[in-house]
Amino acid sequence: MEDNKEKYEHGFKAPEGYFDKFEDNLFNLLELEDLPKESGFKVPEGYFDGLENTILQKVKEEPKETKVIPLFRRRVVWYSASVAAAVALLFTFIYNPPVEGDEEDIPLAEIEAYIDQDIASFDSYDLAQVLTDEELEGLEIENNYLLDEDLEDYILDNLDDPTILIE
Amino acid sequence: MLIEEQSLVSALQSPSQKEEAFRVLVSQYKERLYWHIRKMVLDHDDTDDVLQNTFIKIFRSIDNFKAESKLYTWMYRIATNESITFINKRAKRAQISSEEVQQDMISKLESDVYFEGSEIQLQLQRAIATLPQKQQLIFNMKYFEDHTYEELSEILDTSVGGLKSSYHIAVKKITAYIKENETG
Repeated sequence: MEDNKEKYEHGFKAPEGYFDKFEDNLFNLLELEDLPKESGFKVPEGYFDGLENTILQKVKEEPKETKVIPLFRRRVVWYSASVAAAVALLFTFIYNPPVEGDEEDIPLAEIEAYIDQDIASFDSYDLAQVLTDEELEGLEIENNYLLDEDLEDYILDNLDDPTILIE
Repeated sequence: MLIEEQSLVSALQSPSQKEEAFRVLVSQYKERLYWHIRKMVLDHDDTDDVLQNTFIKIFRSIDNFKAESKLYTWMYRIATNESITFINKRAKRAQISSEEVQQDMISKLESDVYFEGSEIQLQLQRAIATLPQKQQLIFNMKYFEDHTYEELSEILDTSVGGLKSSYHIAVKKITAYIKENETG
């Protein structure tokens, strides 16, 4: 508020919109106070007691070697994806030849909507349809099982040019 | 890293002490990691599987653990990734989205013998399940587990500012959901 302006500029700033959202945020937090702090989940009795032994036994059972992931797989998947996309597009044209008539009749908004809804809907599920289980498994391994540290080690061990790490 | 944690890590990385140190690690973290996973995958048996996989992964990767990060945040990161992988795998198998998987898990909660929540606790879980995955994580870790934003920032690799705004958005959505679905 202008009239409350302090006599001297103190130099502090608040993030934009902070005071506008303040009441909103505060009341939300107050409402949250009425909700229980306990989640309601329970565990079977004694579950935690023997867990160390169960896990150690499992660790010993698991094969020691870690899976080696071929460097080329990612590329192969992208190739397959591009081929699949190309084939899909080709079929679209074969089975839905462009309708004769005045293309200018189609409003721009409709074309945009078509691109948004139909072409963009070629998502990971569609991709999953064209890949075998093995390839999908490979994708999962690549995306989820590699720790940053492992990747870093791999890069450091295998690349001559360490500047790539800066990227 | 704390000195205590440092000596535990060195023991974990030494072949002769690894097993004993790992036993200590499991007993120190089993409950915390269990509850962290449970809030994401909801079912006890699924949580048990994910927790065991998490510890196996920790055991296998401990040699690569670098002292720059805290052992505890590193383990939480693994547990989080394992839980997300579990949900995504289930979604892929059933050919549905991970959001649908969560809705399905929530609907089973009512008859789950290991969920003894009241109606409002169930409603809170339903509300959380409507959030995007990352907001769910942030909300659960802040609301139920009392992590600091700095810890969350390290675990989830997100800025403190981003986390704060995500938490506020999550709180807003949850209170709105509870209000909308209020019974009686």
